[in-house]
Formats: sequence, structure tokens, C-alpha cells
Amino acid sequence: MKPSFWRKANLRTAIGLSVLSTGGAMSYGAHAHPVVFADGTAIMGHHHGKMSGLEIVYSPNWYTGFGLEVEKSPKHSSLLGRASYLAWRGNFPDLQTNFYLTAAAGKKWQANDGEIQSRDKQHLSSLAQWNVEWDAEDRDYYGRIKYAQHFETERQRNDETLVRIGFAPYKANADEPAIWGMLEWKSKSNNRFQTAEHDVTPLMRYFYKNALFEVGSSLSGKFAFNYMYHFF
Amino acid sequence: MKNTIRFFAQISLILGGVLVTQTVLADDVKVSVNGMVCGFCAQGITKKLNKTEAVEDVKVDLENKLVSFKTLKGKDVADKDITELLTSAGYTVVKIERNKP
Repeated sequence: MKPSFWRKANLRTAIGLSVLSTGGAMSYGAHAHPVVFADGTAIMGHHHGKMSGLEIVYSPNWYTGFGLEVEKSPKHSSLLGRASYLAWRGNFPDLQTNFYLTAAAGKKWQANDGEIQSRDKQHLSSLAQWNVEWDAEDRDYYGRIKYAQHFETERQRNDETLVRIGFAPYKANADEPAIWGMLEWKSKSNNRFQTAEHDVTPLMRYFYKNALFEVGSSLSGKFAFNYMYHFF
Repeated sequence: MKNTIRFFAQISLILGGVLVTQTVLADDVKVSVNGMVCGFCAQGITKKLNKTEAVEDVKVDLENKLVSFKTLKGKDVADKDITELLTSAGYTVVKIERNKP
């Protein structure tokens, strides 16, 4: 089945905006902040190697988030709608910890062979995804673990595991700029763990009030750039 | 004559200042909150409290785990409402203190 003109046009617009908004940098599908805050809207971009993505998330309350994400690489482009539920939050004097459940569905345009050059040579498939995610953060340390499964019709299941740890060299207050050192390990396996890719990316995170960005380079040499902006 | 005018002008200014302060500000509220760790937490809490008409000048202090704000006279916010507001923002209220100006 070929995508309709409307769908193609909208995906193209969304991908164009994503690429423009990030200066053409490349991404990795690391969906960063599933729930914003009550009545909060955030825009997030993630780039790793040759993949780039952009997501907008709205949270009507503190425990749910609804997002729309576009992603593009030379071999595919996708559009995903996502719903996240903050199933549990622990508030401690110097620590916050969260457990999220997320489900997503959408469409993927995949090049049949080589890179995407013309729309006629693409393969359209449906996508579904679920993930569980836990994070914990105080003003010195940060930790995040995510496990996701991606399903594509007519294709195999992909599994993805992400682990992040971070350290802040100083404790920043709410109105001060914060700097974090981050280390990310990501594993992707296709065809039910028959083939797996691993990547480790050290990142520097800069965070000031409602804006955050991260810059790094993976050990395999892929440039990484992520950002997040919360609208007030 | 000049001294008399100056005296009355000073008295008027003092009384006016007191009157304005009493009309505008009621309480200085300090709330101890658990779960605040970053600027995004501060932003969410500030946004939530600023939606309340009686609240002004919201400040978040991560170091001391405090949210402070002022309330307008005649539009006071009860402790129960403050707890509800911050709970609905996703945080846990530990203690509420008030200082009358």
C-alpha cells in the first residue's frame, strides 16, 4: 500500500522542520522525556550518527504525556504517536525517581534497497512500540534504564536497551546553569537477539532553566546532539 | 509653614506605604517540598502556582528544598490548597510556614 499524498506531504513537512530546526545534524531515536509537567509542552530533538528525530510532547497533568515524533535516516523515515504514563514517582528530600510505561504506533517508510531516493522505491509499514523506563536523579547523580520493543509488520521485532549514568561536578540551583557529564550505552538487536549493535556515547549536558542540550561523540565515531526545550 | 507641609507629606507617605503593603501582601509562605531536583521541576511548580490568582513572586530553592511565594491580602491560599496544588504538580509537601509581613 502506498501512502496517500496527504500523509507523504505531512511527513515531508515534519521531517523538513526537524532537519531545519537542528541544523541538519543527525540523530538516534532516544526518546528523552516521556512526561513533561502538568500542562507543559516540550520540544525535543535527538541526533546520533545518520539518524535525526524531533518530538513534541504535551502533558495535561504530571503523570501522562502525549507525543508526536518524526525520525529520519538515509534509509528510512517514520512518524510515531506516543502515549506515556508515569506509573510511579518517588519524591525524596534530595532525590526523585520515576517509572514510566509507554506505547507508540505509527508508520515507517523504508528504502527497499540502498538510500531513499524516490518515493516509488519505498516500502511502507506499520510500526508499534512499547517500552518501560526508570530514572532516578538527585543534584549530583543521574541514572536511566530503558527497555523497548519495536514491531514492524512484515518485519522482525527489534529490541533496544539503553542505560545512562550522569554526574554533575557541582550542585546547581534552579536559576543557575547546570553541567552534567553523561555516559550512554545503547544496544539494539534485530530478529530477536540474533544480531546486535552496541554503542557507547559520552555526552556533556548543559542545562539552564527550561532549556537543555547535550553534545557528544560515540566510541564508534558518531556525532550525537540532543536538545530539549520546555515551553513555559 | 514649610516644616508643617514637610511633616504632613512625610506622614502621608508613611501611612500610604503601610496602607499599600497591607492591601497588597498578606502572607510570606515557605513550603518544604520533596522531589525537586532540577530546573524543570522548578518550572513546573512555578507554572502551577502562578495559575493561582492569589499567589505572587514564586521562587524555588533546590538547595534548601523550599518553594516560597507571597499571597495577596483578601485572597489567601489555605494550607490544604497549597498541598493540593503541589501534589497535582507531582511533588510531596513536607511543611508549610507562614510569615505575616
